[in-house]
Amino acid sequence: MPNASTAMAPQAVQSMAQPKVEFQRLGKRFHRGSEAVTVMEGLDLTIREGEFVCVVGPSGCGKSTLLNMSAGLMRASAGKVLYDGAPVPEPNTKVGYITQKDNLMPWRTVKANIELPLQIRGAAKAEREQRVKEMIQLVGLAGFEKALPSELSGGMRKRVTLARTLVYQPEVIFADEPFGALDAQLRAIMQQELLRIWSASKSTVVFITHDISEAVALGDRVVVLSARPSRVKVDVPIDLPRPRDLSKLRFQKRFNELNEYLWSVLAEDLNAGDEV
Amino acid sequence: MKKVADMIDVQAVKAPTHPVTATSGESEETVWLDTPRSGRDRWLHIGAIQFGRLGMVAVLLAVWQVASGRWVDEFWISKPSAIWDVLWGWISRGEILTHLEATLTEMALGLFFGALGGVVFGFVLGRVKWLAELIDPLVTAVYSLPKIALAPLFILWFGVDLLSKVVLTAVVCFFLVFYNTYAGVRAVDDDLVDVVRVMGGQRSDLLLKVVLPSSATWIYTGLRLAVPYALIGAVVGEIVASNKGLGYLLAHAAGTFNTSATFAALFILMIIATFLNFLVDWSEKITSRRQ
Ligand SMILES: Nc1ncnc2c1ncn2[C@@H]1O[C@H](COP(=O)(O)OP(=O)(O)OP(=O)(O)O)[C@@H](O)[C@H]1O
Ligand SMILES: [Mg+2]
Repeated sequence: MPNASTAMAPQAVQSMAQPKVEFQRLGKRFHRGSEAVTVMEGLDLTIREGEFVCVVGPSGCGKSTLLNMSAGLMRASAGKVLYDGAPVPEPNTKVGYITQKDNLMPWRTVKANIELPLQIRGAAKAEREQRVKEMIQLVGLAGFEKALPSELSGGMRKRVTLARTLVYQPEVIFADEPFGALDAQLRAIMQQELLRIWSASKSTVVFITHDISEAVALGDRVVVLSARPSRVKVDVPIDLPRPRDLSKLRFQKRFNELNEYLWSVLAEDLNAGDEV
Repeated sequence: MKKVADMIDVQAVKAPTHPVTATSGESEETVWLDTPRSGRDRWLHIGAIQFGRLGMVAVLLAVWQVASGRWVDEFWISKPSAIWDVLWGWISRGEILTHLEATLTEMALGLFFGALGGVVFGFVLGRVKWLAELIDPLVTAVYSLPKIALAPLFILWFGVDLLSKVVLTAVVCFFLVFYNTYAGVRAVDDDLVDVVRVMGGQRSDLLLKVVLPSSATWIYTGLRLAVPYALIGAVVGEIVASNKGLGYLLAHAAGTFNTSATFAALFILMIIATFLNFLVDWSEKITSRRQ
């Protein structure tokens, strides 16, 4: 464990890194007949290469919409989304996207679902077998290789989705509440694994969650979005040392301070309510 | 307004004064009330059912045989022995083969081309939204027409031989397969398509790895429906105008007031339909096992 003095050190390396995903004056509206619902307006945010950015915000504020635009599946209504400094391609095939709903192919087994991106990318059979096997071990689904998604629990399906994204090692991972459906112990294990993979692979992660302590525990930064129309409310650097032992974090004063602060920021919008 | 807390009888929800412990059920052995049926029982059951069925048919035939000419004029209902004579005549003279061959060929060709067209057309319209929107009224109009009513037109166009029946059967099958394929392709979850696009899937990946497997059960349903309708198409075509086939046999028999031959032709049709049903069920079993 690093000591307290390194904990306070500024994370200079991160701020020097290249911007990976940029949102500039981003706006999004949905049209229902002649009516337009503005979900997002004037959102500015830069995610740099190698960063682990957590995004929290009230339900329905547009977090999933933000990721859909980043993955090039949805167009912005105003402003820009840049990837590597250029307008985001449609779709953005350099990223991995763990969607909020587990979009598994219902006719494919666990193994075949995880194998799908490798097949699409034309990986050799032997390599596919090897990588899929590793991933199944990693997410703790050994013994369920031949099961269909309909035979799995919600948390297991979520883990398959995670494995399916990690298996092709995308440079950026967008994860939309990936651990929401997991029980506390499993969630802790998966969080630690994700941190390990992230630091080993030097990938960039944008992680959406509604659990503030999860955001603080994992992120280099926690971005809080406001209620609709959403923009960045605060962008808090998390100056907890790495590598982090997630099981011990809650004994750190700084961790609890950050948690408390973020709670108070988010609470303002939660009270304002989603009852629009 | 009344508060919820006021409505609860506080006396009734007092905490138990003695600690409650779960009574141990381990000491007693569980008595299962649902015993599995033994193999012998099951065979006896199946045997009894089969025996009962045979008996029922035998009684029916016997009543028919006795009633004919005694209570009902034989002209209207013929009788089993007479029907059998006709059937045996057709079989022993080999006549039946020509007719069977004609009907089955029309069915098979019509089913094949109709289903192929239906799948392809259903896929294209399912994926190309503007085209679907454009020709939707036309398709609905033709679909709502009883396809069998086209038989006279096709005979006019394609003659009394094989071709007119194949076309009629194909049209009937086409619409069944087309509509199911179209619905299946439209029902494909767009999110699944998006997931594969982000993974780097090309157009062919989207079709082969998402759209096709996800609409497969729909297409299969269409094909299953099309099989019995192919028989209907072929036979109706033959009834309207032809010189061979089971429909011809039937129409000819009825046209010459030969009740026995009419029943004999119907009997053959029944056998074929049952056999087709059996084939469909069997193929369903095979495919569902493979899934
Ligand atoms: N395809 C769509 N058509 C119309 N409205 C949409 C569409 N997608 C999202 N919205 C609206 O945009 C808003 C933001 O949705 P989004 O799913 O991004 O919220 P979220 O922040 O991810 O919420 P949650 O935390 O509950 O997942 C919602 O009010 C939703 O009704
Ligand atoms: Mg969401």
